[in-house]
Amino acid sequence: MEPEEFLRAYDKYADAIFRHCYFRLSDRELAQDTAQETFTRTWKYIADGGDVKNIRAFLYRVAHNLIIDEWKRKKAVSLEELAEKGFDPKDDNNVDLANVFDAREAAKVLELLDKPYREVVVMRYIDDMSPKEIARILGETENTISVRIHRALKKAKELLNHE
Amino acid sequence: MNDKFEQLMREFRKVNLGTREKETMRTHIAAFVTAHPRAKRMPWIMHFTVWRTSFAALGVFAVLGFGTSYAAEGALPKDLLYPVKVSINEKVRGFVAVSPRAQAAWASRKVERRLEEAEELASQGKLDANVKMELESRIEDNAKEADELIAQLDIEARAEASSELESTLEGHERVLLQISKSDGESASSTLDFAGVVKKQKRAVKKERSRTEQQIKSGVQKEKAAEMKLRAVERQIETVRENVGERAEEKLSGATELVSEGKAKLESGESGEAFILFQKAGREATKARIEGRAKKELKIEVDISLDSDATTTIDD
Repeated sequence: MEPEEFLRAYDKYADAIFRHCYFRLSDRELAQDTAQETFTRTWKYIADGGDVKNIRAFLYRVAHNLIIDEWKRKKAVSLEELAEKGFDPKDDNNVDLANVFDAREAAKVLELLDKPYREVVVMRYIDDMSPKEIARILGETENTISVRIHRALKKAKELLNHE
Repeated sequence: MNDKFEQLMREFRKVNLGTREKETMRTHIAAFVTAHPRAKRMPWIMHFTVWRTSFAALGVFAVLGFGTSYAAEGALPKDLLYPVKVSINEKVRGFVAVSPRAQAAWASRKVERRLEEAEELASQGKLDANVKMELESRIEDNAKEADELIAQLDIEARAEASSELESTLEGHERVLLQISKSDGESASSTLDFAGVVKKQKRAVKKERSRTEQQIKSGVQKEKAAEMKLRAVERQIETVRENVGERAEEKLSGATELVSEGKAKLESGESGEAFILFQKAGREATKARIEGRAKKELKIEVDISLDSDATTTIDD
């Protein structure tokens, strides 16, 4: 892959990778750092002669590994706090939520989910990945992922009912 | 409830980097890309699928990557990457040599690689007893492999391959002898080592001579002589381009022999012609080796150096 092509991939996937990191790490700055590192590590792999067949999947896999490292290192900030801050509006990228209360609810529920559930919910509904893609990134079978998504939603429902 | 939750999750897709954040990050990444250019253009060998397959099979792909193997090519005994050079790179290049002729050529090339390593170490005064032992052992193994592969070729190819190997051994023996004259730290072990190379050369010379005699008295000698003439003329041209200064002087022996051989060919003595063309080829190989020694190691082999006259411990 040539540098120009790689930077085009950045233009295309930077927001998605950032978003993925953001909802799993609950910290905007950390999410930015992690997103940047995702790209630099991917380039280093390519520069060293590595072959990347699917850049999007590769980026998510690198991001996923960095996030795992980060979880081990640091206690994540409350997602609810994040929701209260209003997602740090920047320029023209405000989240336009009809009901901030709903957003806070959703954010709280997301945070309350166990990490394996949160992971698949973020990937399925925020990253818009298919169960097959998620399975490939997490190294699980498609069936396992489908079951996990189903259980995650069930759990989210229970949590919402209790709110 | 779930619909609502899923709906809100989808809303979260609108969360993005700010425009300035995105630009700043892009600048950092672009700088990183510039600071970490892609590995140098790899030798043709690295693009073969079989290379990658072998690498994976050896279980080192994930650890080493292409860049390391490429870097290993310059390694000398005792260097960290030397095992990669001899156990992995060379094994893989062996897989790619398909025809018996290519396999024999590669085996001979491996012998030469050991000789080049010895020369480089000797020129730095680093050919100590341990390294010498290791290289001697490797040369013996590689030479044995080359002999076995050469023996399986048809007669003309056998004559050519053994002639090439013999001249390779002789050429490097001369360079090592020249280095040993410098009175450096490892002068005496360099001289010893040259003696080992000489022994190998003698064994190959015997085989080459025998094969040439067979061709001389054989029916295909005219065809063999003509093919050999073309091959040696190409070889001389290649060496002339690469040997640098004093090319004509270094190649004078080879070009004279070609003229003599042509005369023999014209007068119908194809067997003799073949033998002369073979000799011309050997002279050209020695010129190549000495040219390389001058270029890479700054060693000028004395034109009057007669390796057969030099006493060694084995004589």
